[in-house]
Amino acid sequence: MQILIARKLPERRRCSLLAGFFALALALLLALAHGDAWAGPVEGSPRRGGTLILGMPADPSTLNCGIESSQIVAMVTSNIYNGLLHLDEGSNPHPDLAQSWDISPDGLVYTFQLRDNVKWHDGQPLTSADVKFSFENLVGKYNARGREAYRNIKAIETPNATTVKISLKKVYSPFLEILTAHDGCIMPKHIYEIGDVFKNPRNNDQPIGSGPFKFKEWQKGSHITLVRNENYFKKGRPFLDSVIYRIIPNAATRAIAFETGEINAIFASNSFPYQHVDRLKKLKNAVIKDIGSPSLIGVNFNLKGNPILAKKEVRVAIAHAIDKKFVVEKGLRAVGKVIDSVIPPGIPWAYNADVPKYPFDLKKANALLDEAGHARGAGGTRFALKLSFEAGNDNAERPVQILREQLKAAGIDIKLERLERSVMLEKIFQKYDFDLWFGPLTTRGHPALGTARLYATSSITGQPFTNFTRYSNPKVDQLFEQAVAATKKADMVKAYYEVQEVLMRDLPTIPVADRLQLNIIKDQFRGALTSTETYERMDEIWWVKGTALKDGDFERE
Amino acid sequence: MPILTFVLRRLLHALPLLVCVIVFNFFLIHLAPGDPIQALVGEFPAPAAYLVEMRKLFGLDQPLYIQMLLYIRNILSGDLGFSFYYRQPVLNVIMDRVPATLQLMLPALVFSSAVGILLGILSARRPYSFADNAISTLSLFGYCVPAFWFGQMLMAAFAIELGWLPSQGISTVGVDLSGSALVLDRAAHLVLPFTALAIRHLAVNARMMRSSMLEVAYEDFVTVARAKGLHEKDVITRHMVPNALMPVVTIIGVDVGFLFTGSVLVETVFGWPGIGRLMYESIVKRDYPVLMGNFLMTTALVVAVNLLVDLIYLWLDPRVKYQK
Repeated sequence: MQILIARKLPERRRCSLLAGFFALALALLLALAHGDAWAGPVEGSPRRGGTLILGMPADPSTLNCGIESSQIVAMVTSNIYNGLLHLDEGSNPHPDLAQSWDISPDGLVYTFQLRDNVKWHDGQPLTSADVKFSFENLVGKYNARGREAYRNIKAIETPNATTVKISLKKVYSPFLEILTAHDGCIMPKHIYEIGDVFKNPRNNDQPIGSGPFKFKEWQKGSHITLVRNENYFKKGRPFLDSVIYRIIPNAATRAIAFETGEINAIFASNSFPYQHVDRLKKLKNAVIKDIGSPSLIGVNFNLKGNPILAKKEVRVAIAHAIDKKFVVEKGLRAVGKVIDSVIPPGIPWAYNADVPKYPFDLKKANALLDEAGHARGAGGTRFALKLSFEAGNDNAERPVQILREQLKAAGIDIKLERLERSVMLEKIFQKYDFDLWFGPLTTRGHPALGTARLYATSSITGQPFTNFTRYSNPKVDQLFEQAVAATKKADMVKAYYEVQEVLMRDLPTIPVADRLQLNIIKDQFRGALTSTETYERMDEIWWVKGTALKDGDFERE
Repeated sequence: MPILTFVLRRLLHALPLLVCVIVFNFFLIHLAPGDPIQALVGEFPAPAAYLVEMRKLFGLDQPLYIQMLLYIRNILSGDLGFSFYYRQPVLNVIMDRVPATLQLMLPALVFSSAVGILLGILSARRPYSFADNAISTLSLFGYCVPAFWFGQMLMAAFAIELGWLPSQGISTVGVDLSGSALVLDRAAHLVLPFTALAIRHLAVNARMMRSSMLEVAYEDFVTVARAKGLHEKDVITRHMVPNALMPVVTIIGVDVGFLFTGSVLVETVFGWPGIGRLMYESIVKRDYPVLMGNFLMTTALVVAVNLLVDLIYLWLDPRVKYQK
């Protein structure tokens, strides 16, 4: 085709076209090379067979990913169901059910081309009608995480069985982020169009998906077994015969079960027994790796509830009084990195390293507090504050003890308040009854999802994990809106850089650490721990003792 | 049929008790801070409209007394409600867990009762002898040691160091076993949680039986039995034990309720998929219907076991007569 056109063109034009052609080829090659760096292409020469047994802390509430999007549900359902696409570590989209997609120049219309060979586990074909149904009646309606984004959908058209055209009400740059199996799982219309979705027996028993593994059994409180889908649309995948999720509520027991070989892997932040990390690190025949979504662990101020903390000088003084390095090394057992911005370096494209910083400087902290009119009283105490945190949360339990000592040195008397999770959700996030709250906040791969909810004025909603410091700054609001509406990535990045500068000047939160998300797996399994949410990609994992496969026998990506 | 009338009357008396328990538990649970819908939503914020919808879906938008009346009406028609978290009928959620709990609790109950009573008799035979001191010391240990710690120690020794037994779960997953291999596999998984669970009850029963035996040892009928020239074995088995058993039977009756729900820690440490763990999880998740269902079942069980204990008295002690 290219040559055919070229023949009709004069010499000069032909040359430029040829050059263009080469440029295109080069771009393609580069794109492929980039793909190589990503998890997509499977690691090494995979083999077929084997069973991976995974340790998990609790039963999922359901296996219906259309109504529930918690990590514990997605750990299982993402391997039974598919999304339109996958995301890599840099949040770049890669094909899953959609083999290609196209975004209109105004950023409002997304057109997806579905694979045409996808079948549900019961043999029915998966079509654009299933996608439309899922977004309109399931994930779009019930998924708590993606709800805001799905509400932005104006219309979904299905011109044919393999084309889905989604038009948005307004530009929403992170739209592709919610289309993975985790937040945008595609469910079978023919199963869910009848009756009450919450009471559908397929929710827990024999769910029908399209994914690499099929449901076999769920013994409540004990284990869930998935087996290979022989008719998976990706040729030769999955490599494992089965995946078993073993439910082990106690973290110490999870570590022991890994040592004794009763389980082969522990994935995801909700499962890893951090208290035992030193022991697990010493194990031979096991690979331990940091992957997972970035998080913000820090000290959050109640800006409206406490007049002392409403003063910026006091917040700055507290920031100078904290030795973050010590907190991370001793409190978090070095399982984390010190951070200076509310957007962690785990989102490399948005992270701004050049923000106002508050290095550990006790003298300065004391001086600032003196200046602010909080001289030391009897016993050297200036004032008392309550530091609240979640009971049993390993990200908080030890660090708060250290923080208490560090702040005591600055004359601040800290009373620790240990709250059970449900109580914490109500007390901190609904009633704003706190001075300082320390703990982890998932930022996910995009500041529009993970950061805006914490600092935008419109996010002061009294919902858990929204803007609970009640920080409000029109400039920041405007920047967040600009970023989401940006059609060019450079504009979005610029807005987020500025957001971080303003936020770190105003200091509603003192960022302390980005928690490493540790995963561990026996080294007789390969192909794992390659993408951010490895537990969603069990079809990439293979067992070294399986039967060898030839290169053409399976799809690499 | 005086016994039948007695049983019926006791059951009739239990009804108002059950209703009181339901009402009391209902308000107790709802007084506790925490919100089930927020617990459901998890780590990421949900829009307010979503929360309103969910509240409506689960009937949480109604005033509390209406919620309670609805709940009692449902229970009377045999419906224990619908779990917020599992999104299944509560009865299914609980029944899924009952077999595992029974599998752990019944052996522990039988063993700790039988062996505990035996040890108690043994140590009471010669108070302050070596055997008595040994049993007393051990049962003191068994009574004091926290089950979760003891469980982890057992695990460290037998699962990690020696590698003899599996560390957790109810069976080996990923292999299809049948026949004797299945029984052996289940038994191997049972040993450690069983030991951790039984030891405390064993200790209590042994201590109780010992002191109870020593109490009856100075009763007139024992002196008479000895004076009659009965063999010491007969004095113990025919005269002392039946009398000494009375308080121990009461304790064992109370234990049933504890074993049924109180094995939370052991079930958690050993990943045992039973009722105790379900109860703990439903507290954390504020899954009120499951929690209420659990309470209700436990109450019913305790009532039933108490009745059984009363019937055992009748059999043990000829002086006890249940009149109209």
